[in-house]
Amino acid sequence: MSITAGRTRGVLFAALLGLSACQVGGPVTGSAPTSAAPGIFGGPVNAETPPVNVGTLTDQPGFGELIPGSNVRAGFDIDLQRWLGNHAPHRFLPVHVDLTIDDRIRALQEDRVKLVVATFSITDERSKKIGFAGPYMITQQGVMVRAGDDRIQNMDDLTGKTVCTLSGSTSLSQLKEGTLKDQINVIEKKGYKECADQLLDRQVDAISTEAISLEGFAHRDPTRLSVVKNIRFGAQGRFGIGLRHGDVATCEVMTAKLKEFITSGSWDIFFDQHFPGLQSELYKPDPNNLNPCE
Amino acid sequence: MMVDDLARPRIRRREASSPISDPLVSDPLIIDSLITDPLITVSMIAAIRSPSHRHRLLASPWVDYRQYDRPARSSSDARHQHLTGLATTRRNSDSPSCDRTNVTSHRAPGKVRAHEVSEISFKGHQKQEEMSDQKQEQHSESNFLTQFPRGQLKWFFSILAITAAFTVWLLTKDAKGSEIASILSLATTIVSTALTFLMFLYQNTSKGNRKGIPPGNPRRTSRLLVPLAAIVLGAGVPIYYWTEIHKPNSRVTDQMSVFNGKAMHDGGQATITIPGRPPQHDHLAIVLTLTNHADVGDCVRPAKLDITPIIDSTPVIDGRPEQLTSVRPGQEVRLDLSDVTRQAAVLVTLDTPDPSCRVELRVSQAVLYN
Repeated sequence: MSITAGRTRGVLFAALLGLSACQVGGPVTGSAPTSAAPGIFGGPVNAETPPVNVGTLTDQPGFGELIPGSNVRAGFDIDLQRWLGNHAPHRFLPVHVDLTIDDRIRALQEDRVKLVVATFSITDERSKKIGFAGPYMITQQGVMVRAGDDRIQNMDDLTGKTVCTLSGSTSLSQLKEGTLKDQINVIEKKGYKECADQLLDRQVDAISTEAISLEGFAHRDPTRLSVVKNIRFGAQGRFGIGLRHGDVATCEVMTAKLKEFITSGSWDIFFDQHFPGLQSELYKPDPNNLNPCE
Repeated sequence: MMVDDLARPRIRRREASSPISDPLVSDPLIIDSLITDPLITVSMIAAIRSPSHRHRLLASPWVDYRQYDRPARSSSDARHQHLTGLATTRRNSDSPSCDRTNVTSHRAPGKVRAHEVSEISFKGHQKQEEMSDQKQEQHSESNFLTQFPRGQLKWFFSILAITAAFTVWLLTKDAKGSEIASILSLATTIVSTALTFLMFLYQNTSKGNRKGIPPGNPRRTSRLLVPLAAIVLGAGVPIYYWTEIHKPNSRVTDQMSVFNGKAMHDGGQATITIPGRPPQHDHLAIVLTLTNHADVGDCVRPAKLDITPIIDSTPVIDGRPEQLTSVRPGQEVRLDLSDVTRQAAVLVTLDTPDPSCRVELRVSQAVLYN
């Protein structure tokens, strides 16, 4: 081998080293990866309005209710799903998948649904498992009693009472760990209707969950149910759209659409339609301060 | 000066998705890799460059090996061959004929005995050869020095430039450079080890073909020092500059003390002290995180942290007190500490939409840098 050939090989080797260094230099930024999963609205869609499974509730008046015997769904969450289907960058047809409160996270993790729009409170704990876009509604925990029952007027009156709430909800956590910890008897049920039935049957003294959800029940049956106006406690319930964990692309699309939903006036129309008589300002989020997608 | 210019804070924010990428440098790791990598790299270049079919896989490119392929002409080679032959003869010296052969070959006049003649003759010959050898060594050294500027100086400066450029490039890449150096070191170590092993195998199998190669040739050793010197200079000077003059980035995450940060609420303030009186660097890059220990509450993602640097006990940014900037948790912020004369700290104010939130403020990453 000649010296020139050997030298050329050395130079080539050095060049290869440099190239490999440049190649290695790209991804090693130490920063966390962004969206790994493709967004459901990001790619090209063949069908004009492809179906998208959306998790929803069936027993929550005002938000998501399947009216018995008619197969008709109604509520703020149902209207929001349809609005998103019509206004997303790629239109989609929401296919309602009935979920219970306790099943919402699992449905997303098992990919049974792409979205969950079901009075789903955003929490830091849940954000470790799934993603959220929002919030689209802000409320606080409240208490509902039988109409005419004036035994419970404030927080102190709850001491020693039996309170029904939903298993797997943030309301349960707040009753067990908040200011009412060890002061009340907590009954867990899987659905709102079961709690309402127990309340009307006088098996429990009150129902406690997000105040806006209780308002839906009270609005549906005002002669038998009543929300205690003076009781609001615990952390804010900030309803968001549940997404798969790490789906930043869909989160960004949903967040942008929620901002449009709130600023366009659609939010007020749907709110007034399902919660007439309530002050919308108390529940309306700041469209310019929605949660960032991570 | 425009009003906007006055209002522009000396705090810089970075996106939350890229927590401190530049100043978070593990300089010791880079330097550790830099010390080993150029050596391995250049030795590989040298190994590949040298003609492998002449049993010189890992030999230095500064040695002219063609001299060993020629018949032994120098006094050193002649002496080597002579001594080799003598040793062979002496191993057979039990036979009397061997002595006679020596006497015959070194016959001397007079009363001197034949074997004494042989010894004297041999000593004289040896002395002559030693003198000749010294001359040859001197000649060889002068050749080395005279040839150095022409042939080897080029290689010296080439390697010096490559090593220095590669070292500086890696140093400027900070954390990325560290990772590159680490990744390259694995590959180069494996390949160079394999080449070394192959060279030894090849040398062992081709001993019969390299009678002319003297083991432990001093010129070969001395010429190996040339690339080594280039490497040491090329890597050493940038590293010296980086560590002693520029000063490497200092990771001080564990030295940042947070006061009143355990259970912050909306509007709550916490103070973070910066190590050093004054800090030994001009800038601080810091990433703050919030932790919600409760099962409920959307506290972390919507929260904002208002950052106010406190320079020598005075909240100051660009000479204007009480100015601050807002960052999200997990977002990097950089502070200018060049004006600190005594001590610096950071005042953090929590801004969260839910007043019921209670979160813990932590310093996720903190790096002092220049």
